[in-house]
Amino acid sequence: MTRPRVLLADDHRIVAEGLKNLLSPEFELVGLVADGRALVEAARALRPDVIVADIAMPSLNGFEALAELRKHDPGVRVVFLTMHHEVAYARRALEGGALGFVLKHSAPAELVTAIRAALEGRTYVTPTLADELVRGPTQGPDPSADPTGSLTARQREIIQLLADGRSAKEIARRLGISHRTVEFHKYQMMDLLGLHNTAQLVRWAIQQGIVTP
Amino acid sequence: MVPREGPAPGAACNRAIFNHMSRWTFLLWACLLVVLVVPDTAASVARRVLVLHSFGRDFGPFHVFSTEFRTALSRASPQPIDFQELTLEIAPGGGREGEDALRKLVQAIHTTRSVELLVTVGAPAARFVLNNRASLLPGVPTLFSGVEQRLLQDAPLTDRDATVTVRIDLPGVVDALLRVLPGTREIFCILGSSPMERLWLAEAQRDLAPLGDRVALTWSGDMSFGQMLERAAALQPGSAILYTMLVLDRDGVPYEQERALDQLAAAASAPIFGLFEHQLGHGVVGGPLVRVGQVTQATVAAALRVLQGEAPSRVRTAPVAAGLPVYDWRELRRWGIREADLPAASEIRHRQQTFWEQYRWRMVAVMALITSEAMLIVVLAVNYRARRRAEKAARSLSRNLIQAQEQARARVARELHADVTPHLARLAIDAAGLEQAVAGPDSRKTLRGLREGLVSLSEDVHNLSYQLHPSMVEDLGLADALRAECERFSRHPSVRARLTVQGLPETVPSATALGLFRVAQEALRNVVRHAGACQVKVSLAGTDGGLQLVVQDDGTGFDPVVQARQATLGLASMRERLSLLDGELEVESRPGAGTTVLAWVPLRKASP
Repeated sequence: MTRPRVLLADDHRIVAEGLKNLLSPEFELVGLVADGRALVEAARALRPDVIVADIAMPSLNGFEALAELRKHDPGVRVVFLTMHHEVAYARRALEGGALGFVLKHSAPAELVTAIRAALEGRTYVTPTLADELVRGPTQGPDPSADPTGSLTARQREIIQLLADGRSAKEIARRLGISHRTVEFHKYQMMDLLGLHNTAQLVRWAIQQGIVTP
Repeated sequence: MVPREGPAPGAACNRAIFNHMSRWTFLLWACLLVVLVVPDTAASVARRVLVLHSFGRDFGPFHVFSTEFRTALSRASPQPIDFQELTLEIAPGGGREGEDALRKLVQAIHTTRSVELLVTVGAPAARFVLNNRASLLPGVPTLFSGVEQRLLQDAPLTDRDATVTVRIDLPGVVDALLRVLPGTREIFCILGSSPMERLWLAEAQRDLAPLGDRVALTWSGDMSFGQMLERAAALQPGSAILYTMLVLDRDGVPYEQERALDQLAAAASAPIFGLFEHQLGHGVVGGPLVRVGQVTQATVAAALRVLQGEAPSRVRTAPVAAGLPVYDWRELRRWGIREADLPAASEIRHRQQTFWEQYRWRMVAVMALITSEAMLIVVLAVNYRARRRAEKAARSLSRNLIQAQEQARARVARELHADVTPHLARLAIDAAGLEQAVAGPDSRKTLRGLREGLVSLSEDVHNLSYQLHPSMVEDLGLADALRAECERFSRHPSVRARLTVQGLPETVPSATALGLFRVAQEALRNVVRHAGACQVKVSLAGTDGGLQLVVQDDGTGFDPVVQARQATLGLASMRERLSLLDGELEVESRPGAGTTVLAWVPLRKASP
């Protein structure tokens, strides 16, 4: 039985050496590259079963190299091994088509598992990040049921002036703020209420008795 | 007073008497009455002075005399003066008949009450008296006034005659004229056509004969006044007018009170020169002028002396002559005569102050005010520029400072990442390998502790590196980096942050991205430190040609006025970072109503 062929990409020689020791009992290391571009070339030439790559690398980073590889080989199997323990990196990695995301310092225990999973076409993410990843981006509580209650005093001021027929610039001058701030509040209110234009917003405010026409 | 008042009081009664007595009887009684009355009231009775005018009160130059003389003499005399005034017939055809009538009139006046002093004014009157010596007021003292001295030089004066003469120096006048207007080639001389004026013409022509080769003289003797005006208006440059006297023109039209002079001045195309000071102001340029007022004063003084009993022959004053030259400033201006060309010691009258002379001090004050204000403005402008320069320098300094800080942090972060972190990773990997290889549970436990310590250390170093330089912004882009930051923030127990992204351009310059990211970090840090909020909304939107980042919390908020005074470092550094990107920061907050931080950075302008 031939051992699975693994290509290793890490610009830190000291880490690469350590990984070599770690992986050699189980896998055949077909190559070791130190930057993203070299990784793309080596992968095309060597056609490894799994690529273990760092994210932070010179010339092309891990994400960019993966995107490049998938152009020619959509089924390429990549496990990222990184220092970044932020879930944003993990999410980006999986969105980019990676099969594994492992933190470097948990390598011995997890890297082998991740490579094995990748060989089987499964996805492995370091468990500490997996939870957060599955839950998705943290959402705040929904806006309260009564939207009028959530309008700020500033927004009420602005909506009253809009009802008076003033433009954003006039309102800005009057309140001593920039017109972009006025626009921000206006769109935020429209967003909050699911409305599409100023006229609707003003009509809503009048109906709610927030402003006097 | 019966004698003085003329018809006696109680005229009706007298008329009754008149019917029964002859006129002669009445006159006799009347004379007796005068003789009886006069001594009683000698101290206070009026002194009768008969003034004999040559042409009448109103003709120049004697009108000046007439108006002054009576008042001045009455005022100066200890007794009241009873003035009687008569005028010679001025018509040229008057002749002997006119003189006879006048003689009778004088005699009648003298008969009603004795004339104590006869004053003649002007040459014709003097001549009349001298010609009628025998039959005219014999024994009454006579004061010949206002006569050119030459007329009396050879006159048969007696010891009852006093004189106040005038000296008219025609050559002197013309000389002064030529001095101020040396280019004068022709002088048009105004002199009327009355007998005395004709007499004067011969005298004047003789006087001025020596000037004949310097200047051409023309005389107005045979002209009507209309012709004189025409002539005066048509004079060529290099001409002048000499106005001596105009009582009657050729047609016998009289001109009183120098009215002719006024009309002449209005029409003339050449400067007018005169002989008498009162003509100044009526269009005469000036020169050595005789003051008629001086003649009046001398006459009053002489009359007083005679009335008080002084021998008339001793009352013969030196001729009144022209004083120092006097000029009319307005005429000098009109004819372009420079003050420097006037004779020394000349007096200038009717000077109109120029605007500058009139308002000099006010103008000086206003100009001083304007000047000092201008200086103030300059000083302020210089200050302003210096301040602007200083502000610019400060801004560029703080820009450099922030850039240097960012660079230093990035370098340290890179070094941590390149050297320290891999070593730690390697140590952790080796420790893990060893942990699997060794058999003893104690060793395995020790190795696990070692590995976990290394992992923890590795994470700390990574976090430190991340704080120093968020490589995530470069690795993942601004939106994902912000999302990650929100997630990291949401690990705090009671706070949740949510990011919305809208209309983001494909590429954001790294400096802009890093700047906005730093602002978001700072804003979120403030929320943790101060706001006590539960919910934070972070929004990133492409708007208005730039990027708008808004961090909005529902915390305690603050009073922006108080906050502005305290100027916390956090807000200041946010503002500074944004100003480096030509962006702006706005913070809205109210106590109890949360805080909204709005940052905006333009995208078109490439940031440094």
